Amino acid sequence: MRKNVVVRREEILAAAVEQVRQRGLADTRVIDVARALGVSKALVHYHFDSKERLLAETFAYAAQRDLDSLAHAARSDGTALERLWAVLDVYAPTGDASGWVLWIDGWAAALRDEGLRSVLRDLDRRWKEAIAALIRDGVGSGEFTCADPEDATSRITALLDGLAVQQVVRPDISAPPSRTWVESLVERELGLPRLG
Amino acid sequence: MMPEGTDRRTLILDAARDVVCERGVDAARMADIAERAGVSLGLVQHYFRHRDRLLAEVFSLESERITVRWRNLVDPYADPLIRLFEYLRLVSREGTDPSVRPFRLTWSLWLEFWSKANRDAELRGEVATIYREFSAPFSEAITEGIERGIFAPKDAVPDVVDRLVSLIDGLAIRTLLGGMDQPRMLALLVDSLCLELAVPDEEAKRLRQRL
Repeated sequence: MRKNVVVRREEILAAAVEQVRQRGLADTRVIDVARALGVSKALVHYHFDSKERLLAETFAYAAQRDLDSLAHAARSDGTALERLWAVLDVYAPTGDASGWVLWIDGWAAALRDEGLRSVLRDLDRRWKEAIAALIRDGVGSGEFTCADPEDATSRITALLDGLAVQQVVRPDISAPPSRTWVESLVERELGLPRLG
Repeated sequence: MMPEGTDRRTLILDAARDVVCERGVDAARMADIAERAGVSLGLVQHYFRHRDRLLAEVFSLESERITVRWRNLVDPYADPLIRLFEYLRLVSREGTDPSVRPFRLTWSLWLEFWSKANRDAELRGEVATIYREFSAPFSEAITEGIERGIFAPKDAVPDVVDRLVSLIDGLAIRTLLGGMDQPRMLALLVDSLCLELAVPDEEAKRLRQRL
């Protein structure tokens, strides 16, 4: 158990995110997280005194990781449209939707947990702020035509959330509608000429 | 006197739905459901054998009820755009009649449903049917509107419908989490509908006046 000494809080949280993705929130036990790291259950409990505490921090950690990727994507070079796509590609489940399992379980759990609700609300707000800012940039530079960037942002992000749900739970649309499906909406929302 | 077979089944299903909404799908045990329904655990097992079977039936009954309610509350001969508007009003539960289940109860059940379907292959088998039922009234109204020359969507009808359904689900999630309210959800849906179907500005304006 020499490894115990060096396992940090953050490694535990990263392992917990992975376990929740694979097993679902309800079926993730502290022992699963410990085993994934090859450490004792006691060590996990040393950092997080209960399973509830561990899972609550798991969501906060995953949210922060998403926001870090968001910040990175929003800083990229290029036109407003290129930057917007860099951000939407981080957000959108146009490829592998398995990462969304965590959030789908989180939404259900948040109905009974105010702390988690506020983590998720905050995450949503920050995504929306970043996307709306990019849309306003594009409107300012004449790239986009959009009467209400906030409304457009709410629709685009809600659509992506709903799409994620369908991709995860519906076997009949297991082939992701791909980026064109989302592109079509973005083009309409931002008054862009149709591609291809 | 004990109610007849069908009624007892429904009684159990309704109790199960309420327990799932209150405690979450994973905490809803057969014993809790029996207690809520005021019947024995044996009777619940007699009708549904195991918990997953019972839960699958809860979700499909609820989706069936929604489409039946829609058909009762919305005039099938109304203009397709008005029908679509009425469906959106029903999903966002804005100013609808009191017989419709409250927003939070309906949508929290669907959140539980997704979370469960995610981990349960048997239930996933039902999901396609449930989504098909839920989408059918939208598909019919959109197809009719295209035939009558009122709508001119750029994409195929199934794509437009899937996108609308995704948007409804996504906005409902935000509303449940407290980042949005029902009037705004409906307004965003109406704008999106007009955009997707390329509804002429005059018509779109008239529709927004109904908000």
